[in-house]
Amino acid sequence: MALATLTAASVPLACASEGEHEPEPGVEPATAPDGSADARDTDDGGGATSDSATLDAGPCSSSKLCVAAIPTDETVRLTDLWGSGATDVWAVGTRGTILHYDGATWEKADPVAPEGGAGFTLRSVWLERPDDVWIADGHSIWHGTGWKGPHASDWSFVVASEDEPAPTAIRGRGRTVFIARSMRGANPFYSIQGWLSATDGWTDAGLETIPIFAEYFLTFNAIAVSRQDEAWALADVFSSEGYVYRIGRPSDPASESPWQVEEYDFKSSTRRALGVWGDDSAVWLVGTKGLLRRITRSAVPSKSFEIVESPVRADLHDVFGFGPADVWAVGEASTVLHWDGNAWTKVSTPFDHLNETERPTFESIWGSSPTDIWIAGDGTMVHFDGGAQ
Amino acid sequence: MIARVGGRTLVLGSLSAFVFACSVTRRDDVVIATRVPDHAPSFDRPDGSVLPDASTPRSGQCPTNECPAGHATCPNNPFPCGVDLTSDDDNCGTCGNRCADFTLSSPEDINLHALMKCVNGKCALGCEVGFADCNGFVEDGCEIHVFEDEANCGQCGTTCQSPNECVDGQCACNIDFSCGTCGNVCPPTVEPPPPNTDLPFPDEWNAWYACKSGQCYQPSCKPGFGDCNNDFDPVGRTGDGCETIIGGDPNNCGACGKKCAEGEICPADECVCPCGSPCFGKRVESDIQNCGACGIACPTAGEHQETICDRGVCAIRCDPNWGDCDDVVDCEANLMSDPLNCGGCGIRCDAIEGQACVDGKCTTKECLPE
Repeated sequence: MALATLTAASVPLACASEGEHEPEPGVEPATAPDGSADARDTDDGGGATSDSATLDAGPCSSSKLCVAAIPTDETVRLTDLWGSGATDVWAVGTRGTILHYDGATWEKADPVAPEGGAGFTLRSVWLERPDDVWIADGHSIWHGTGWKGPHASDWSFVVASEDEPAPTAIRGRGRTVFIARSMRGANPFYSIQGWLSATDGWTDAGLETIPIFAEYFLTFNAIAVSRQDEAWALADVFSSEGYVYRIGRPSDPASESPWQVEEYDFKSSTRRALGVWGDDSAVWLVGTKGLLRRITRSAVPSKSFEIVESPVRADLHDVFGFGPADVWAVGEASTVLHWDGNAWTKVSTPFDHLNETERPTFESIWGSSPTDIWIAGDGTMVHFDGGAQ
Repeated sequence: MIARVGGRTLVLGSLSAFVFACSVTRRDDVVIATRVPDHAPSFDRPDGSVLPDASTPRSGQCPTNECPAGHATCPNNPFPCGVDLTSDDDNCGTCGNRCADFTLSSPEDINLHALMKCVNGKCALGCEVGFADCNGFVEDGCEIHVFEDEANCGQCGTTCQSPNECVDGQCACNIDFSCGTCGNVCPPTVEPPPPNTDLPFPDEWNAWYACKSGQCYQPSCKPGFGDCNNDFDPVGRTGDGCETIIGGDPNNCGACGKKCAEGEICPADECVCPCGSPCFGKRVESDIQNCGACGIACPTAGEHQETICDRGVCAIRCDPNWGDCDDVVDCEANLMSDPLNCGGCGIRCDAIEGQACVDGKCTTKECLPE
């Protein structure tokens, strides 16, 4: 690995096209996040503004999901989203795109690239504190000391060589940060292994990681930390066979490794799990063809997820929640689902009036609270504020 | 026409595609197919918005369970009217007429480099790339290797004149160190100079005597060097000879003054844009060998699928005319002939019993007069 530090160059914003990709106001009757039948929304989207990139500048659906103005065009795919709080939210995507929300406006960071990494797809972003931001782009692991405006963020990088697996997912809690790396491909000079590693944080000397798992041909899709002593990683082999791994403390106190990885059965040999989220009460998986799986805390020793009925067959890409009765899932064709503790229901979105093939895919979801939820996807950003006026 | 069959590429005669065209006359619309409601999206490319919608009624047409001309229901095909008798190698011209398989070998275990293909309803000989049937005998398959046969070079009947030889299907000189004309051999390097020439050039000139402009023993720059300031004077012995390295120099990449564009490198004598360089641009958004970042190769796709790099993320989509219509992530549905997924997932040809799907459309015929 090579370690480097860069400061963002002062390059003017390429564009700030507010209101792009704004469809007509939501017109479909829908079910509200609480699962109740929802009458047609009376909000005509008149709150949309075209002169600023302020919160909820776009039209809203009857479920109060509103298109937010972001300074990117619709050809940029936003791949991941995370924040430390309501006024410090980050989104990353293709072409090295980094967006930041300060509580009022989404801004776009000037292009920054580690050595040899211009324009790459940023695949994962995670932070718990405003001054400790992590990004993985398949080429490098980035670490930043926080948002200082679009022209001034400082980044340090650890660049992975091509004979090392590609860093693709980062999540953490407290001092512990988990990093998932994926196989690169069939080229004999490329790495064909997937790795999981952990670190106690970025130091002035750079990044020191502890390897905790390695397997051939694995591509990691996601990682989530459900408790201080537990994380979950999703992987597949050649986009077909899916695998779910639990990362926990070793059952053997004499173990030399601080972490133990076990494969869990998610009752699907043909679908892939693409998103994971969990807390102390349960862990949820979402995936291809509407896959929804859950394992409650009491069932963790069984190493087996339970099948939960899905109202859709669309691919689900990400899941995030706030407790046993408030979980959201997002995915293909602008699909948004909500779990109320008893069942998953489909939530209307501002894109429901479009043909299914024209609706943007939602790639990632994160929220600071049950009434402040962000959904990022193909050229779009959607916000849920719980219906606050 | 070149076709890839069973992992081998074949050279075939002209294959005429069967076209089924419905005549259209004005009449009240009738239901000819149904679409399963609320069908979930899948990653089949030819969705209903791309292919003709089989469920759309066509004026003057009524559903039928009769096969259109050229099509038949055969025991070895799962779909009604699912066999195109004009091109199906297992049902060529009629059900069960299987074109002989010459793929592997003759009875004497000789590779015949041939495969029988169904063309216009008749079995015809097809050859692997590089082979041809020049004697017209089916029994010995594609007996000529046209890449190296002096009498059939590239194609049957093309003869190479000596001393030219057949090299990769083209008549060419195959005598090393030929200079000007084939067979006029001069050594690749001449150190010290040949008789009747001047003394050797100074080492720092990077020059020697070699074949140049079709003549041996001509003063020349050594490979990888160039006289970019045009002062190489082998007679007067002035100047600095071939002073410039043109192998690996991005300012003189392969030739004097051939400058590589910004971000390009010159590994030998050609400018190359490496992944990660600004000149690579947005290629990481679509390059399956560098998807999203350099050195991330998308996995190989399965049957009826192709791997794509979709805006920097590896993805799989179905081949044209195939769809992913079930709960398994694959591309199992033949949208051209599956009556349960005709032209798109969930579009059923069930207006009458036995209605078929042909070319992605539910079968119809002109309605009978009332």
